[in-house]
Amino acid sequence: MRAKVWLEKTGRVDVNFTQYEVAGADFMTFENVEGGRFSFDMAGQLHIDSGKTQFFAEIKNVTSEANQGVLYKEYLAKCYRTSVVTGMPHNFVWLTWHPFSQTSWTKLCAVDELKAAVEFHKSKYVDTDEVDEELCEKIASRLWLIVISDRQEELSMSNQMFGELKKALVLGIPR
Amino acid sequence: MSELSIAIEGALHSADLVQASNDVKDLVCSELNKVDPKVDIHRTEYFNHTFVPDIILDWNDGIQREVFLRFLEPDLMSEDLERIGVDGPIVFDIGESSRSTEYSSDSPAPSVLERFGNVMMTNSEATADIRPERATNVIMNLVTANVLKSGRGEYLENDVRELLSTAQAGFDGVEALNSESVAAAIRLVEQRFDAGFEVRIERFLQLLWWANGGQSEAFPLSSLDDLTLDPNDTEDFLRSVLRGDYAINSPSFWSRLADRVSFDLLVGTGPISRSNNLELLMKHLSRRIKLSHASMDVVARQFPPDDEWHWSISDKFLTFSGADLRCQFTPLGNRFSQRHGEGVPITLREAKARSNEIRIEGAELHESMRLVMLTRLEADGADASLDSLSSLTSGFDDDDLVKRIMVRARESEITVDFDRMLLSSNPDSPVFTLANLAFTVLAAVKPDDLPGLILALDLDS
Repeated sequence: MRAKVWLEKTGRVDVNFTQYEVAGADFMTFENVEGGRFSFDMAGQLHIDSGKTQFFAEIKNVTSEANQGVLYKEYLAKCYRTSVVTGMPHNFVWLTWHPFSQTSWTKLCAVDELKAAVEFHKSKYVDTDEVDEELCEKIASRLWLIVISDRQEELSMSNQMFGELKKALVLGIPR
Repeated sequence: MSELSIAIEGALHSADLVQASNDVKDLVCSELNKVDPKVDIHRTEYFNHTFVPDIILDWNDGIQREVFLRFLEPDLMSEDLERIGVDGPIVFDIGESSRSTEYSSDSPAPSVLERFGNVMMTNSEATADIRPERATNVIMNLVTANVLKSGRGEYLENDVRELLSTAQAGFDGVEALNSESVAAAIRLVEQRFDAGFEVRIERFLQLLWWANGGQSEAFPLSSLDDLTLDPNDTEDFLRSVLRGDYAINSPSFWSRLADRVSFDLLVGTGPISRSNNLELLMKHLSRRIKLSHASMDVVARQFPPDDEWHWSISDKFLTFSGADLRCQFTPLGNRFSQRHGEGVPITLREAKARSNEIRIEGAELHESMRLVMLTRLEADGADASLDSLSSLTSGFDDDDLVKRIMVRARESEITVDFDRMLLSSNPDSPVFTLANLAFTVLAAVKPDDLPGLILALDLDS
């Protein structure tokens, strides 16, 4: 819930569904090449400058690195698999309360990092001989890696202020 | 599972997220429309947003209510309501079908709802029975029609069932003058609706209690002072009764109610075009309400033909119409100030035929090029055989044209104006008398000629 509230308070994100709300829903759950299923924590729409676009998010509400380096690599492979299955390169958000893989932090959204992660998990997430490099480039440009902190949550508009503002903007009603 | 829950489950099986959210919202909007067909439903572009409602309900009377769609999680409800609860929205749980089995939604968080007393919480299982058009009486209709507008607290399946059965028992209670079931209905409405609506329901129950012959001091649990009725409450009550599809087939009810209804109160409920209950009320009221003016018009026949005689209310006129005739009543003669040339003077021969058996006090005739005013002398009244238009106009040619005749009806003198197709009474006469004169003399229609007219005017009652 914290992640949903924070994301929506940016004014750029609508989290339409969370995994606990619609566990197993087809639009949030995908099959890997071995027949197993995986899903994301959240799904919704991003309001970016070019318009509305769909996103999936993985949320890590953690207080330590918590094996995120390893999990992130597999997440990248899942992003690739999802894009293949849906036929669309969606946006993908990794939102965490603790940084990880600090030595390679600046490259975590790079296309090479993505390709390497997909290659590493190829047997599970790729059903073609070759990894689609063009697709990797598109996905890499749609990766959002965000670290937030308790203080950052606090240092944003209050719920009341944001609620009033958003309603006034959306509903056109002076409140 | 309800049809709605099943449909939502189906929508959530879509492979497309946007499609799924749109479909779910469509289903809920359609359901809300069935729950309250009178409300305007506006969708926002948002779905399940933390701060922005999914739907805005607008009753176009200054009252709006937000609807937030939620996959309700009791543990998170308190936090959620802290953000959205202040304006008293409806939280509509759409998670019944997708919820994991270990989670029970029987009682999401009563204590949380107590803190946010204006919030209404319902779900896709609960609303199927809230259908105002299925109401069989005025109380059931009012209760079901106001759930979205005035409902407070939890409206889960059992709550709705209890509400409906208690409202029915409350109505039965006022009919049978059973104070216990009336008290139970009032208590429940107090818990489940806002204070304004509770007072309204109590007023209605009180009026029904009174109209059914109950004593005011025996009415239970009154938060109201007495039966001195606020005109607005009574008008509101009357409007609901007259616009309802349910018939109240109790002559004593209508008779008592008719004692209380004035012309202003009646026309204030309009517009009312077709209403069984208005017909039932007018059976009693047409002899009690006294008015000064009635007009008669020939109107174009509707297609399909609507020959049934009926009462209606519009534009502050009480109207009685059928076939191609329309008779309008009002106490305000100036409402007809623009009427000129709607009719034509009739021949004396025709006037005599139409006014047979009616006491005529005077007449205005066109004889050649002059206008002649004839008035009965006081002394003539002693001989009943001289009452007719024939005796008054003796010596005049039957082909002379009659512009007006003055008719004596009990204590009133009614002027029948053939030029303007208008009756003016001084002092006021019962609507029933005006209607009969208008049809007989102005329109040359005898009730006997049209059995439907006899029934509608209820000549034998």
